Amino acid sequence: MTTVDQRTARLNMPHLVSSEWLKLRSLRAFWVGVAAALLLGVLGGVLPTMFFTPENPPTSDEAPYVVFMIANIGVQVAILTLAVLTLGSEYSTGSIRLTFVAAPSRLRVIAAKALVVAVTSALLAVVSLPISWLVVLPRLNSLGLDTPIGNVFGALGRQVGFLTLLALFAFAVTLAVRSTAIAVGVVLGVVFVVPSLLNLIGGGLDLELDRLGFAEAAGNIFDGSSSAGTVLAGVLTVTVWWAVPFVLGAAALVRKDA
Amino acid sequence: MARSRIVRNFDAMIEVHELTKRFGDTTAVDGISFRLDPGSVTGFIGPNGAGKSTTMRMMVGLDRPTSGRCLVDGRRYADLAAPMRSVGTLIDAEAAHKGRSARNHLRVLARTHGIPDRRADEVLETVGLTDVANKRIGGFSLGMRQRLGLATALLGDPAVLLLDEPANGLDPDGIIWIRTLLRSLAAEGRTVFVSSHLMGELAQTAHRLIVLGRGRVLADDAVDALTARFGTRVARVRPDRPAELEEILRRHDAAVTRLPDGALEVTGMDSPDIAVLAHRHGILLFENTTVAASLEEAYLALTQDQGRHVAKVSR
Repeated sequence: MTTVDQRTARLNMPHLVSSEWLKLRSLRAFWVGVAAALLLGVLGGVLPTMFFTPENPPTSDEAPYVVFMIANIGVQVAILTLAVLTLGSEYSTGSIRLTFVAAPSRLRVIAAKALVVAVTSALLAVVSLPISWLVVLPRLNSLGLDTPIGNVFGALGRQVGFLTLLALFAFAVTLAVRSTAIAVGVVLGVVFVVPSLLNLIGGGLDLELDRLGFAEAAGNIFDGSSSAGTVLAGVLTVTVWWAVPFVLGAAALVRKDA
Repeated sequence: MARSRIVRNFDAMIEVHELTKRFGDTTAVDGISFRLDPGSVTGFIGPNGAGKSTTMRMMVGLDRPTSGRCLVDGRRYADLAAPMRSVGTLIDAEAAHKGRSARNHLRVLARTHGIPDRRADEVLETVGLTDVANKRIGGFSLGMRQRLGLATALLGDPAVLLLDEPANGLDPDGIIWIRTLLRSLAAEGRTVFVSSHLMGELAQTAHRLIVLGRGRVLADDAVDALTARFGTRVARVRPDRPAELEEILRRHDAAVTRLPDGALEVTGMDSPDIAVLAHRHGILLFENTTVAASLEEAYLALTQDQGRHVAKVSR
C-alpha cells in the first residue's frame, strides 16, 4: 500500500518552499536562534534606556530609533547565524547532495531557501523588536515620553528591512564560500569591521567612503529621511554587495559536482 | 476511511550512453554504456575505485559527465517532473543532518514533491525503523543509516531504484532482509540497480551483472552466463596413490593442488578424463567430483588487476 498519489506528487516551487521551511524549523539550532534573537533583542533594547535620565531624556522621535537600533544589533547576530546555517549546515553534513537528488534544479532550491530565509528573518525581526519595545515602554513612560505610534512603526520598519537584507546577504555569502564558519566571519566583518575601515580610509582621502559599506547603504534605503538619490545609491550598493557572492556561488553551484 | 490502492505502472527504462567522467588526468568512468530493464535486479560490481559510485552520481545529476548521457524514459534526470517518483536513490547514507529526526528527515524530502507525511511513516515501517522514527540521526548506527537511506530511496514509490552499496554496515539479518527486499521490489516490476564491491552480496540477489573495472564495462550478462564464461571448473579427486596421480596429471598439463586430507584439486582437466587416466595407471579413485564454478571466481578472473587501489602484500 502506498500513499504516494502519482497524479499530484510533483516537484514545484511551493513544494520546495514547504520543504525548506520544515527543514529549517525541524532543527534545534533554529529554535535556539529564535530564542537568542528574542533575548538579545530585549537586552539590546533595554541597554540604551539605562542611560535615559529625567535630566537627559530622549525626544519622542529619538526613543524608538535608539531602542530599535541597539536591539537590532543583538537580533542581527542571531538572524545572520540562522541565514548562514540554512545553507551552511547542509554543506557541512553532506545533506545538500540528498537535496539536489530530490530537487535537481539547483537554482530553484537556492531560490526556495532564500525565500524562507527572507520571510523567517523578517518575521523574527517583526516579533522580537516590538517585544523589546514593550519591555522598555514602562521605563520610557516613567520619563514622561509619549511616542507617537507612527514613529514606532517607522523605526521598526527600517530595522526589519535592514535585517531582511542582512539575512539575504549572509545567505549569498554562504552560497559563495560553502562554509558556516567562514560565512559568519565574512558577514560579521562586513557589518561590523568594514564600516570602520571605510570611515578611516575615507577620512584620509577626504571621501565619503562609508556610504559604500553594506550596513550604511542598507540603512539608508529604509531611512525615511533619506533623499531619493541616497536611497537609489543605497539600493545599488546593497545590490552589488549581494550580487557578487550570489553570482559567484550560483555559478559554482551550477557548474561543479555536488 | 478506506484508502484506494493506487495501481502503478513501473515500466521505466534507463539508458546510459557513452558516459565518461574525468577528474583532471584521471578517467574515473570511460565511455560506459548499458541499459536497465524493468522487473530485474542488476548488480553493478567492481573493485574499489572502479567508477561505480561516480557512474551512479552522474545518473542522478550530482556529478556532471565529461561526455555521454543517462536518460530515464528518454529524459535527463534533471528534466523529470517528479524525480523522486521516477528514481529512488541511495548514494551516501551519511548524507543526512545528524540533528534531525529520521521522520523529519523523510518528511523534508517528501515535501519537495508534495508527498504526504504519512508516507514517511510507511517507509520507516518498511525498513524497520518505526521505533526510532523520532530519534536523531546522529545517534544511529551505520546499519540504521543504511536503512534510513533505503527508506529515502523508497519515499517516492519509484519505478527505478539506484542503490550504491546498500548492504554496507548491515548485520547478517539485515543483509538477508535487503536481498529479499530487492528481489520483491523487482518482482513488482521495478528496475533495481545495486552496486557492490563484494560479489557475495550480489550473487544471490542479482539477475544480471555489469562488471566495472578502471571505469570500463568488463562484462555485462546474466549471472549464470557470466559464471559459465569466466568461472573455473575444479575437479576434486581422492586417489589411493595421490603423489603418483599428481605427477601423471601434471604431465598432462593439469594444475593440481594437494589438499591436507590427501585429495587433489584439479583444474584444466574434467572428471571423466581424470577417471580414464587413473584407470589406465591402475589408480583407484575414492572420489571424483566436479565442483561447479563460482560467481566469485568469475568475478575475480574478470577484475584481476582492475583495482585502482591495490595493496602490496608480502608473503
